[in-house]
Parts: sequence; structure tokens; C-alpha cells
Amino acid sequence: MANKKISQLTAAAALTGTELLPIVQGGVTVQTTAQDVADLGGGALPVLTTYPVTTLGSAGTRFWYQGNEWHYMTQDEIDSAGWTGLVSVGFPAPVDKNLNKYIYFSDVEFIISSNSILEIEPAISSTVIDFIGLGLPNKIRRIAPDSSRTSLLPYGITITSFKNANLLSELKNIGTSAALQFVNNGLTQSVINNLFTQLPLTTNTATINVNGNPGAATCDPTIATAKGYTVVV
Amino acid sequence: MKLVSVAIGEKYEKEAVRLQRTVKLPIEVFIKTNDKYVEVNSDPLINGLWHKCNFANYINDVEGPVIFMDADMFTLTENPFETFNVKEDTDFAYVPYQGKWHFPDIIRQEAFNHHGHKINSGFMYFRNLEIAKDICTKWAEEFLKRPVHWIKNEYDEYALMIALMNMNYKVELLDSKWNDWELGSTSFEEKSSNSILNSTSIFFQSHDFLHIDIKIDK
Repeated sequence: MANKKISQLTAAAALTGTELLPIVQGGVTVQTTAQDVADLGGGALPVLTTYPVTTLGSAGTRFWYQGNEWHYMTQDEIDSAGWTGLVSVGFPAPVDKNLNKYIYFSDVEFIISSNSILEIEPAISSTVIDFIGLGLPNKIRRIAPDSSRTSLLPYGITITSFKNANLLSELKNIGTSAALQFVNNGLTQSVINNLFTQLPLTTNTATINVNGNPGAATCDPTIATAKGYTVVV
Repeated sequence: MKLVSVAIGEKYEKEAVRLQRTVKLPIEVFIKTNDKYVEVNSDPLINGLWHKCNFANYINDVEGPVIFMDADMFTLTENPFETFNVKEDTDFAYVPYQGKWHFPDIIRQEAFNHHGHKINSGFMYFRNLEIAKDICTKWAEEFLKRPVHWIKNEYDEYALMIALMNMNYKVELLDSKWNDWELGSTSFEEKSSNSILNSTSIFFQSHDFLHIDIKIDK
């Protein structure tokens, strides 16, 4: 055996985990088992085919759902996401979605903004994931931080940046109302173009209204129309 | 002056009752029980909108202008038509949407470029029934051409814009006070209802506020 290459060895049958493997620890060659190596990787994650629900007993574990890696959140993960008090331990959420708390969509479709950087954030309910389009897609709401629609956003607020707009995968108009309505919000050309660039492709009826902003006349609507949106400048 | 609306489905019929109650003038509302009703599409929204497009073909023997109002319109003003007027030679009038629109497809873009605005079909004036029937017939034909391709909920207005491209009527653009649809476009009811109550606009449009009524202090 000492004179054979690995490629010359007979292929193994299905592993049971008890097989011995040589490894080097501290310069010394020692033995371990296939199971021990597998355990280092945490094993294969389960794949869920139905929409996950909050499961306290599963907090800290991960799984796959609709092509994304999710986790049942621990309290630390909830705190880290800025969802403290919004969801319970064991709440299911995608692992690598950069969710922040400067804006949130509530069931009545208004927005809270703590500064002029608008970041898309989920709703204050157990349908958090629904609102960012990863769960039940018909729960997505529009955002409309103009003075006529919300008492919580300061009048005439100037928006200097959008973040996480790529999460708005299920934007759609409500009747004749635009899916995204940013009118008279001081948007510059680059801010508008950046919003258009972040947005995902859509097949929905989704209008973006940026009328009344200084960058409206010179922005590039084709960035958004090429993705399926209608743009009003 | 003939006032007309279309309400296909229970929800719209309730809204039409509000329209009739707040306008306080006779409004002929076309509903499913009308002898002329036919189901043109299994999708209730497409079906209902087609009947809206075709509304003038359900009425007869009208002298003078025809005004169409969407079923979900309402007014908080006594005698809402007291100040309504258009130029003598105006054939067709409506409230345009604001802004320059850019579309993901050529057909709607050409229609927008032709008119220079998007047409709001919630409140429309026609100089007489003949004009209304002509526009509606071509509008309804256009509406049925590509219902699958088009977005459903706003397709009626694009179909109207496309149909009008080949017609030569004298058009007048109305002030937004005749259909201040934007104030009623949020479901955040408290805020929106306050905005409506404090507005000087004459007509609004909303699926909410079904029990709202004439302002007492106006």
C-alpha cells in the first residue's frame, strides 16, 4: 500500500462514519473518523419545502428554503439584526440578508425614518419575511414617504441614499398608486440612479414615481424600465 | 348632463352607492344585473374594466354632455358640479397624471409620447353621447387586444390612450380637483381621511372611507 497512489485505491462503499482517517495534529500523524470530520461541517442542512414558522426549540439551527440558507434566530441573532422586541426566539429568517431598521413597513404601510438614509426593513409582525418578498409574495407593501402619505416622516425630508432596495422583490402598485413614491424628497440624479440599479427585476405592475426631485430630469429611467418598471419623472 | 358609472361586483356596487349618496344627483350605474351585461373575461378585474371601457354603449337617449365617474369616486362638496365647465368646443376632457412617464415597452411609451401625459380615466367629460359611444367602442376594442400582456389593474387607461391616438377629438385637460385620486390612494386611513377632509378638491377616489359623507361646514 505504501507504494500506491490514492487514485489507485479501490473506491470506498457508502460511509458509515466509523472509517478511520489519518490527520496531522501538531506535527504528529493521528487517526480520526469520517464522522468526526463530517461533524466539523455541521452536516448537511435540512431542506424545507413549506414556509417555516417560529420554532423556539430550533433556535440556532439552520436550513434551506427556496434556495436561501435560513436560520431559526437566537436572541443574539435577533439583537444583531436590530429586531429586538419585534420577533421571538426561533423566528425563521434568511441568514445573509442585510436588514436594518431605519425604515420599517407596518401593516398600515407607513415608514419611520431616523435619518435621511432610507433602508428597507421588514414589518413589525411575524410576517417580516413576507414583507421583503422571500416568503408569501402577496404581502409586500409599497413605500411612500412623501408628505401626503405619512405623518411619521418629516415633511420635505431629503433622502440621500437608499439601501437594501434589492430586497423589494415583490413591489407592485396598489390600484393606480405607484409602488414606490418618492416625490419632492430632494433626490439627486445619482441617488435615483442608484435606487434603480439596486431594484431587482420585476414582472409586476410596479411604478416608481420620482417626480419633483432635482435629479428627476437627468436620471436614467432606462435602468429601471429595462427591469420591467414604469418610471415617472 | 348625464352622470354615469360602472360597478361590476359587490365591492364596486357598494362604492357606487357612496358615489350616488354624496353627489346627490341621478347617476346611472351599470351593474351585473343589467340586461346588456355579458362576461367578457373570467378575470373579474379585466371583465369589470372592459365594461367600464364600454360604458357609453349601455346608455341611450341622452341630450347634452355625458360625465363618467369611477364607482369608487365620491365628493364631500354640496352641488359638486356647480362650478364645472369646459370650453364650448371641447369634445372630451379628463384629469391628466403628472410627470413624464417611462415604460418598459414601446406601445405604452408611444401612447404617452403622443398625448404628452398619462390619462386618468376616473372622471371624464364627453360633449355628447355620440362622442362617448365612439370613444368607448374603440376603447373597449383596444382593451381586449392584449389583456394578458398588459398589467391588469391600470390597463384601461393605457387602452384609452392607445385608442385615442387614432381619433381626432378636441381634448381639454381638467384641474386635478375634479379627481384628486392621490389623496385617497393610501390605506393608512386616518391620515388619508384627514387629508381628504381638509382638501378643497371636489372629487376623490378611494376604495376606503365608504361611510364618509358631505362636509357639514361647506
